[in-house]
Amino acid sequence: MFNQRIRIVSAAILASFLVLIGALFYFQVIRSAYYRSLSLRNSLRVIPVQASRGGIYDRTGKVFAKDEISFDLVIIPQEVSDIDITLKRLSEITGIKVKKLKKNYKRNYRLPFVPATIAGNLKAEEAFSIEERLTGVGGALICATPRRIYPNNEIASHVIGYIGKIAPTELKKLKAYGYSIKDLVGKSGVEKYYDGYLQGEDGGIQIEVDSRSREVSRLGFKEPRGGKNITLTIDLGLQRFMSMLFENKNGALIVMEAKTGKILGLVSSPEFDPNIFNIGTNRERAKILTDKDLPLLNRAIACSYPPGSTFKVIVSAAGIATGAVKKTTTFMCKGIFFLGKRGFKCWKRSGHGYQNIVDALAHSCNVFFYNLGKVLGAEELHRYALSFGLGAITGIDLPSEIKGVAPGPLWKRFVIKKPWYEGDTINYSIGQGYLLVTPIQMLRVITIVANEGYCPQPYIVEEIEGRRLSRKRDFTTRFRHGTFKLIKEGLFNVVNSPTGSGQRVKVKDLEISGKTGTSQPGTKGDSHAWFTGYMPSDDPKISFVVFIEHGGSGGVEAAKMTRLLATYLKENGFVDSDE
Amino acid sequence: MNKIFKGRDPILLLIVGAIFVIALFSLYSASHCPGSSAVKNFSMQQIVWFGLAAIISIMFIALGYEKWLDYSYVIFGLNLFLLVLVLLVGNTHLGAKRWLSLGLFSLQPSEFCKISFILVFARFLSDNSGRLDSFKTILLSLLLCMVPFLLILKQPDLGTALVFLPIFFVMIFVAGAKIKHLIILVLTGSAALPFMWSMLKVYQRKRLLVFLNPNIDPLGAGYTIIQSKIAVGSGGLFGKGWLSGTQNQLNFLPERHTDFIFSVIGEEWGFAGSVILLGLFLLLVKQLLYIANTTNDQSGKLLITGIITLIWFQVFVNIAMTIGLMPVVGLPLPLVSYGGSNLMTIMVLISLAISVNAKRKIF
Repeated sequence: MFNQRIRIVSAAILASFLVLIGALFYFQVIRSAYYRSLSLRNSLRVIPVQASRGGIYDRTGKVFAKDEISFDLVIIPQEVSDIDITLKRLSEITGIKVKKLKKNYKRNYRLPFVPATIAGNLKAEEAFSIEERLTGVGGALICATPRRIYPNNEIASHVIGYIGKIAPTELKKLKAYGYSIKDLVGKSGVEKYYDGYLQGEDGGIQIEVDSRSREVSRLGFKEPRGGKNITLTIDLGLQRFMSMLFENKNGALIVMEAKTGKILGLVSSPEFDPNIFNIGTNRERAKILTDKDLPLLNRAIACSYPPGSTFKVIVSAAGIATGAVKKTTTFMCKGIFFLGKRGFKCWKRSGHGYQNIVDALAHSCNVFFYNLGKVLGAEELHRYALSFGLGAITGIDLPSEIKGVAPGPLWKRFVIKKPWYEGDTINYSIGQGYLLVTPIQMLRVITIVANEGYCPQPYIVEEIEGRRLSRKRDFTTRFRHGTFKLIKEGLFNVVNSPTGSGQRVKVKDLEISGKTGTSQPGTKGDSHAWFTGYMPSDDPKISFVVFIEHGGSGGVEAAKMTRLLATYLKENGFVDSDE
Repeated sequence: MNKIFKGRDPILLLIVGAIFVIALFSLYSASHCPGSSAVKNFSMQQIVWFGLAAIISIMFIALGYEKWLDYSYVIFGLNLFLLVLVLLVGNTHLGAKRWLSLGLFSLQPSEFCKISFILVFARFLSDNSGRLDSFKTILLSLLLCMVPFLLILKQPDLGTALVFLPIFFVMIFVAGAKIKHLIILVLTGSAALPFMWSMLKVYQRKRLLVFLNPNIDPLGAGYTIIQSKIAVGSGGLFGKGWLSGTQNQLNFLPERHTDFIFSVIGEEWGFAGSVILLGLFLLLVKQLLYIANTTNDQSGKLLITGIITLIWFQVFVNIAMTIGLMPVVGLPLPLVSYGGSNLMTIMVLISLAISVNAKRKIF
């Protein structure tokens, strides 16, 4: 049995070796002449055909980013016998200095048979006239390659992002997925988050040429496959208007459909022109990268700040939900609150007098919330901050979102390595101290109030090549029915009561609710101005957050900006009822 | 020592030596590239590996293969543990987790798993030789093979994983399994192919598709196949001569010192050189078959069957992929391709065979 079966195996091995020898005989003896001719120097040429990247469009189909054909003059190194002579000839033809051509050649050289660009981004007419005069210059040709353009320049730059050459560390990670060193990849925004969809697949032609570099036969062709087109929820007109509001100001502004989570506009200011990263000069790039205002930073999602009085919405919900306050509960505001010997001021020196929760929200009375915060305690404040989604990312489909800090006694012990003092609780109750939030987190907080308990997953991308994406679940937080009634009344009065802190928001024929906030930054400088809100008040369609970095008072600067925004939204039909 | 190398062993060593000499010349040529100065000298490097492998091989012979069979379950278990460890904490290189870093050097547990699997499977089959006609035993042995197979496929290292399948089938066939049972296994295996396909990485699927039609990717994987075919084909009857292969010297061939070393040999030494190399491998297999036929120990026979299958499969697949008859799965050519782990594995396996030969009783 044993030896008999081994004999079968050895026969099979012998047969397989004979097959190999037969195949080698075919390749190396019968077809040898053919392969020898192919192997002769210069006979094989690979011309890469770059795939175009998918376009990015606004919700009505207006272009945010797309690829356009650009023409490059390239050299195939192995076909050039004397590079200096060739470059000199090309300099005469193109009118570009030899030194510059040489510099480009050295920079773009990769392998002998891979075309190296020596003059990029030529105009079409220019390219055609150069091509006509190229005959007789061996190894040089005009290549058409797609190039990314952003027609709206800096508009929506933080949503769209920009692209650049893949970094060596990224390449290591992505190589298994078919990326190569020369690929352009998304570096931020939708360009990065959805890179896998936008990225096309490069093609190429492999041809056999004779000694004068004329094509003899085509050995292989792979058609490039373009990337997928992406449609955003962003409205270009609104986005442009929102950018305008931020002229000479830093900050962030987000407008969302309260019931669906569609982001209609998202601005982070200052903005940058993404075109600079593919067709700009090094100096322009350096300017963006070294700007002390950090234009590449997306302040709406990747930067956290103290929320100030906008946090009082959460403290109110905690007070009502735990039963600590009812409509009739009042605290006396004399303009200052004492914890032992230490005094905590209200913004109104003369005091607000007796305040119930509705008044306290409308007037943004600090003393009321100091008292309420003290009654609730730090643990409860921490618990409700978490239940409104602070300290956790919203999961919006943009890269580098951060989660901020929702502090509590245990957190302080571990991170700051100090015990929690009652003074911390007092600061906590007006949104100061260790608490740090991103503007989009505050958008979620106000949307939860608008929808009375839930906030849909905010998102930017509506469709990819005509197909809708499945969404993650909404963010819900359980409260007893009616919890939000008093809060909504308070937020309505912020804008509409004659003593409200946000009267400047008021717009004719549109009811707006919201909360002002003026928070002290951790560093030096003016206070940050906030306004978070929703409209129309009785059936919220739009929720929004306005944040102006070092913008002064929330009731003044942020409220003014909100009024302009609300007017635009009303005039352009964003708040019309569905019927 | 003299007693250890007896009978036909000198011939076996002579063949290994001859193949290795060819390897050194080819590796020198592959690393010799006019124009670029900073190229690693792979042949010097490989000699160092060879010395190391020889020392370890002598240890294996001195201990004797029976000892290794005795401890095979423990070794195999340890090896599987290392494979799991690689998936958890291994170094990622070219998108695959194959290496365990041990400070001074890194280890490739999947390479050594070839040895430990052949050992454990030889032991298992000879322990269960009476029960091989039951399908339950067949399924049990399949389990033994599938665990390392799937762990290595997950890394992902398709080439190394695939080696386990022919070893499994040939060894169990020689051990005396029923043909009917083997056919059932093959049929269910083919039914599971779609599942396997889903386990493959994008680049692995691409390579398989490129094998069917190299022109779908003339710049990537298809480029390698086309260039390698041109290299081998242009070699002709007697080759272009050492250090004169244009495909090779002009840097047309990627990975030519490892998986595509045969294209260097084919181009520079031609059909004649290729046949000589294949002949040497055939002689190697023949020597091993002789030992298998003459030994009386069943586990020794099975051990050598596994060794033969491994060497044969790697030689066949490697050369076939160089000339485009098989997909590029990344299997090195035994004793010839550059790389320490693979050289070590083959040398250890051959030394186990020598040990079987040494222990055989001559009547």
